[in-house]
Amino acid sequence: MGIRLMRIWTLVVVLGGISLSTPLTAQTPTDEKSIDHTSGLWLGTYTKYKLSDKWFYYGEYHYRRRNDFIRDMAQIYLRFGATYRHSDEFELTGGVVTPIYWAPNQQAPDINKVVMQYRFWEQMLFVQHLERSKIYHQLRFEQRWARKYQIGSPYKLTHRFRYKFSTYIPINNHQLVPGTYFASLYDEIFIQAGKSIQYNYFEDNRLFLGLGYVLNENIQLQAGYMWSFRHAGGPYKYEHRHIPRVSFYHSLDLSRKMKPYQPVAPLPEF
Amino acid sequence: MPNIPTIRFKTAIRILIFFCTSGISLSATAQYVFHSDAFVGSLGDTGIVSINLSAPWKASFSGEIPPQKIWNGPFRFQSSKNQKEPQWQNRNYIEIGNYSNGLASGEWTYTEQITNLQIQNLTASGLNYRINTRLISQKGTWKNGIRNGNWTYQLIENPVDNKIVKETLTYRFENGWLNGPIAYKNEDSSITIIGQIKEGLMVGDWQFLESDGTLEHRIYEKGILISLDTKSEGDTQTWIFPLSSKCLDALKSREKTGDLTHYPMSLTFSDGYPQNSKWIQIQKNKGHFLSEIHKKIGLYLPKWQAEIGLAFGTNRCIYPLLAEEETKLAQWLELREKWQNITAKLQDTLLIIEEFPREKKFKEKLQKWIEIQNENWENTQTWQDIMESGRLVYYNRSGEVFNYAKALLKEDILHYPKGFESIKYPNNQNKLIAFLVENTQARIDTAAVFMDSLISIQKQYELSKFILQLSAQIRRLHDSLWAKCQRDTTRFGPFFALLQDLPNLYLNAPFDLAFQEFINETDIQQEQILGNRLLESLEGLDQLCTESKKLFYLWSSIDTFYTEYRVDAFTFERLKIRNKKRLFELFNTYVAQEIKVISQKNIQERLSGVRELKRLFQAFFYFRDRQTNGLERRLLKTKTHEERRRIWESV
Repeated sequence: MGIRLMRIWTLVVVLGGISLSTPLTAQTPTDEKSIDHTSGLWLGTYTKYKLSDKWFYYGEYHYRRRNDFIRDMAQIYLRFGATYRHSDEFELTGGVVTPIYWAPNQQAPDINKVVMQYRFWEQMLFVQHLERSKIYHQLRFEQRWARKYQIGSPYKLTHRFRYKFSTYIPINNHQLVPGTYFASLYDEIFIQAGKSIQYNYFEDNRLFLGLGYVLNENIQLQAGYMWSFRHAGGPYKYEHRHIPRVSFYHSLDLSRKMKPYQPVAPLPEF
Repeated sequence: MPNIPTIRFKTAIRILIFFCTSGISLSATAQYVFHSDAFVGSLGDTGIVSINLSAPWKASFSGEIPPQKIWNGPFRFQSSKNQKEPQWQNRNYIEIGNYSNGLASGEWTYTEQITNLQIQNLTASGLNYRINTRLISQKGTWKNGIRNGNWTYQLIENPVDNKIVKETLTYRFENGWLNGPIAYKNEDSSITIIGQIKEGLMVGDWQFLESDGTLEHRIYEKGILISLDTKSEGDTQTWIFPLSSKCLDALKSREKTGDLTHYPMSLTFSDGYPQNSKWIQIQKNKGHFLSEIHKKIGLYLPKWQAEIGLAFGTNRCIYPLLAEEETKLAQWLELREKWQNITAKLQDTLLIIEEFPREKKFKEKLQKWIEIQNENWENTQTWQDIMESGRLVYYNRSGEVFNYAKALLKEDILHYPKGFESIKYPNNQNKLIAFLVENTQARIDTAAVFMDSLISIQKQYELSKFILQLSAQIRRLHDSLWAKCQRDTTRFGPFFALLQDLPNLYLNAPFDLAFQEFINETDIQQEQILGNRLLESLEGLDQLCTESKKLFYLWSSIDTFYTEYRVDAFTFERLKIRNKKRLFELFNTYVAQEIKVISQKNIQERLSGVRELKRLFQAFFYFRDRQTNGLERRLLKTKTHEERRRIWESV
């Protein structure tokens, strides 16, 4: 996809996402809308291990707390996948997700305090190379089998469509080489669908602003603030979430082998 | 008009074709016209020849008769030439005679009329001019191609009007030899000469009578001038030419030659007398009249004049060389050859160093000396010519010629604008040939000394040229080094340190000072040594520069070779990944340390160190894909640079 088309696509999706979210929240202007503010803390580890020239193992391991940032346990979120890197501009990933949800009100009767969820997920990642930075367009699709916390609640299938627009901007270097600080910025919009979705197709919009550091060629760190505005599950209920995030990114090249001697270029003759 | 032969038609056609192809046009009257300067010696004359042809031939000039083309019958040649400004002149020449079987025969006349128009001035009444006409005629008889009988020569002015006879000459030939009385009268010079010739040689009393009454008598015998006396108003001089007894005996002999040799060389320098001697000078007074007579006798007969030369007048008294003299003569002739060769060689060598700025005075001296040698060589050539016949001319052993030779050869006086210089030669001999041998050898020795000096100068010159070239070479190399090594230091990376702070590089001084020291050195040998040292230093630096650049290239190649690029899994950033990072760092640490060590050394040691590093770099390429843990462990255990060097040198 050409850069120009990518930019148009980015614009359409972002504006579309915003415009989509707004009328959905104002669907029934006569009803009273409630908006809550909550906070949490998300800690995450992202791994990507190179298995061959094209294939990677992908893994995300999240530990999330909520209410006054850290008061209550929220989720343990495990995402596994296999990535096929088609080129330096495009890759495909697919796998499973097994998030574990803690019920928001652990004291409520007749509930399971911890509920599992099962998902398949597919993802397309487009990379736009700019002179100093890159823009990543991530489209993610999830098939979720989720259930309510009430005891005996059945698992129901819903769909989620996510588009994430993100970028890393090096601060003290021209490239994201070891030792580089960078600004990390993204916005991701979540759309949901399925029979059980009763109130709003708009699910979430997450905006993140953070600072990253490339420790070495295998490790980088990011920390920042994420603002999430989401539909809270009930009719006319919305929620602002204020979440600091700390993420650890780890990559390994497991594909490297000892090659037989073969000069890359003829040795200079002197 | 000449006879016009009857030629058959086919023959005429044949002749016509032949002449057309020969560049000669044949007229209907069998006359043909051609250009030739052979008759009257004037370029561009057009002549008409009428001759009975026994066979067609290619005409060139009348004196040359092709062997198979026979001239027969009456002969007439006519030519004319008109000359205009600035000297108006008409010349007409007619030659009439007869050929018999290709040989001139019977009476021949040679007539030339020259008319000059002289414009004097232009006045109101018209142009004033003067026409002067001269008629020259020569008459005589031929017999079978040789002159035989009475001949006359006459020059008449204004032959039509007042007919003034200006010059007359009568003489007689017998069988090709001048023989008999001869009389010459010249009105303009007011002289009358009468004498006798016998078989081509002047004999008897020759009288030279001038209008002022001066009368000179010259007595000749067999061409030898015996005595001369002049009588003018109240003054009488008598010259008896000294002759040897053998010469006198020869003159008495009935034979024409005997010990006399007919040398028609010159009218005055006869008998071997030196040219500036009084014996020659006295002869010169009337000598030019004898030359005039000789010219008249050969007039219109250029071949006769050129080939036969003097038909009368001179002879020499000669007698054979002694055996000892023959040996000496052979020696002298050999030395003369050497003398000429070495002089010529000196001249050539002198030319080689012509541009050499030094030794100007020496060059001038030598130039003058060579000039004198060339003159003397010419002057002594006459003696050689005479003596080569195995005989010596009269008076040569210890008489006038010997004195003359000594005066001529005992020293060379070199004249300069200010003053002169004399080079003297040995003067121990009392005989001519011995003197010539001694003198010529001394000249050769002198020339050899000059040659040694010249060669020495030439060597200096070559050396000087070498120094010039050397200095240019040093300067050029230094400049190119500056451009190569100093202008762009980025091409050397860390190895630029190897080019800095070189001790003793330029004779313990900055380059400019060292160069000045080299240029200002007056001793050329020392200068050469200094120059060579400078050049060696620069060449060493040049090598070091080149090698350092190569090292940097290799080092950069190693850096590239040990580098891989990986696209980051998360950011898609292209990252540079170092292979064998620890070994590479150990290697680079060693190289940096080694650069410091090498930089303390002199240029040759640096070169050696650089070459060792280069060898290591080339070896290091091979470690990239090899197991190097052992090497790393060994290197990590070391404590000193020397230990590390031993390990690296062993790889």
